[in-house]
Amino acid sequence: MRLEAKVLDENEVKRIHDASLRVLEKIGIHMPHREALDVMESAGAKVERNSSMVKMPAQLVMNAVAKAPKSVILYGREPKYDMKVKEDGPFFGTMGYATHITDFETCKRRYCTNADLAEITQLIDSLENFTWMMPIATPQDVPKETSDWFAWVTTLKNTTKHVVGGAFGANSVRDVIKMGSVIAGGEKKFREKPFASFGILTRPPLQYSWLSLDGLLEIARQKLPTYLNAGCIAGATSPVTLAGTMTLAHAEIMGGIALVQSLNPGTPMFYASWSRIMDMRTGNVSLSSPEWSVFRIGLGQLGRYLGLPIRTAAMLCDAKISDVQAGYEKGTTGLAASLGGDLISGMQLDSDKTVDLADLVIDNEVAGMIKRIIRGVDVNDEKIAFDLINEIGPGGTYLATLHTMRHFREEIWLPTITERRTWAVWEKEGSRDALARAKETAKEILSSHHPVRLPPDVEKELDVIAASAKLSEG
Amino acid sequence: MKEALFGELRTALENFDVETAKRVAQKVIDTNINAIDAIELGLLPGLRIIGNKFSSGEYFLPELMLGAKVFKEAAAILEQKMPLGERPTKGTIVLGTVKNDVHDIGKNLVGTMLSMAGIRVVDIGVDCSPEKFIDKAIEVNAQIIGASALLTITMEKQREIIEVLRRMDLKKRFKVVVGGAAVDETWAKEIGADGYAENAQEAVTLVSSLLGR
Repeated sequence: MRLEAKVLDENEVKRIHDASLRVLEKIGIHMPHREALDVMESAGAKVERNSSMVKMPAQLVMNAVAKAPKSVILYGREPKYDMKVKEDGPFFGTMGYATHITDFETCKRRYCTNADLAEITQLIDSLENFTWMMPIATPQDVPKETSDWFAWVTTLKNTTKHVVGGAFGANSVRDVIKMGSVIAGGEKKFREKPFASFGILTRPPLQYSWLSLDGLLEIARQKLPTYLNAGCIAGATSPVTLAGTMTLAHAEIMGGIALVQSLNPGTPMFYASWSRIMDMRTGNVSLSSPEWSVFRIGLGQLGRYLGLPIRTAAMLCDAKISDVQAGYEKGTTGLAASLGGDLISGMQLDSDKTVDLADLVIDNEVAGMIKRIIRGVDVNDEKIAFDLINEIGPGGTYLATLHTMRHFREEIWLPTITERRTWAVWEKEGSRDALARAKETAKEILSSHHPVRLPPDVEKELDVIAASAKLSEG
Repeated sequence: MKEALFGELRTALENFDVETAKRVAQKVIDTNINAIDAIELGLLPGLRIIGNKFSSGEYFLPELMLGAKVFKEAAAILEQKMPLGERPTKGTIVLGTVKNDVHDIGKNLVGTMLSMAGIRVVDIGVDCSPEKFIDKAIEVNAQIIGASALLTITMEKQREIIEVLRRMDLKKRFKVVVGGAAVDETWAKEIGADGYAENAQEAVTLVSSLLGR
């Protein structure tokens, strides 16, 4: 059985769900976009045009949820990276849009460039435990207003894994489809197995921005997969109580589902929430507190209650560098939070502002460990191995048996950088800590791994799309 | 009589009791007791106790913000009777989040801390154009403009404020301070800002020193 976790019993899930429906019906959501208001009014919501407030009856919301596909496949550019998300998960990937990088040589923190993003993406492309990614950083040396287009292009150029990125207005969605079509050799080919999908953030409490709505409506029209991510900050943009934050987040997500499914029923959607806490001493937001894990598991349960595939986030760190704090954050909140979803993003330091090549290698290792833990125990006659137990009998050894040789690779996780040799051997070879070993591995990978490259004319076309991009304005 | 009322104001603040604070403030007005004394001898001591407990680690941001809220609501009643020029203040700052940026939690925290330090804060909200900052600064006779940006893509708007001030020949009249998660000291120097603060406490020190206090 696969490892699962709960922080809410059945009644508690229902109670929060009902409270969220009441929020949508009695309080409503702010949707400052004329078309969104038109869609919701036609669907039967109570729309107040002056304030752009939309109040939705429970029936409308649940009808919409019923129309959202319960199973979603996300495709890579290579079939080995296709993901039947809910059935075969969890699938690990990266969070997006950090701004800084730890320089590989100097170990100093600096702004991330477009060239850095290309290099990091190539590394992620090679790491076996990541099956998908967001553009992990926003390049800071490109035109600021359209830097997200450059992030899309650079990421798509350097990986064949599925890419999930932001939607910054309707024309950015259309531009990503253009990028995908150019890469796939035509829009029809791209749409058969789209290797790009989107993420939209809500604006807690109880708001969607014009730009997010503009993007969301276009995604719905195009019927491409998207997640809706409610990032309430407990004590700041939602009640400090975890149940209150979950109520608000769940309402915001369902509000977005109602909009999308009312416009274009059957649009694939993921349930997502990066609701988190504010550190009450510093006022900074934590992406790795114990509550992070409780939120991921609880909101995961609420997403499951709706039957949807879930995108969650784990293994993010508040640690500034890849140190012991980063280690225990990846280990504790990383494991627990990974139990909350199917698509799991993470792999950044400094509260999702800084990326580190060596740290990504460690993330890959930890993701492997977590995947193994979640996989749990496979029980059947072959694995119970009664006949073998009988054959070996009391005092025998299992090491040189066919059964061991056949099964050890699938049953036992094999480390790549984890140190398990004796002290003497470790000391003789330089007494290197985990980060030093990870750094060396990163160097080796970067010098030897070559992602599937796009033809030069395709890359040039992608560059033109980024260079001529324009941000929508409401 | 007035000492008793000042004591009640201080206690109301310590207990985070906004209703009592407002009621007593109204009584101060109704009995023609000096409103400035009520703020300085009643409300401010209570606020200082909260501030000290925050500094010592006993209180956290929720206590600080709630205390500031009680202070603000009671002070608003007391200030009704005071002409603008008489209100006790160390100076005025216009605070806002720049154009295309809607993040405001940090800005609000800074505003609260500055208010608690006796600085008049005129908060113009989020998504503010350079002109909005400058027009307000002129209108309220501010000494400082404070601009917040959370995103690296909106940081440029902080530079724009300074450029517009230069074009209008107002750079000497208004000092500009910047902050926000995307911002650092290097950026502040690059754009010609008069100061940068890493967090709300540093903002109080910075703004106070720029006001010569």
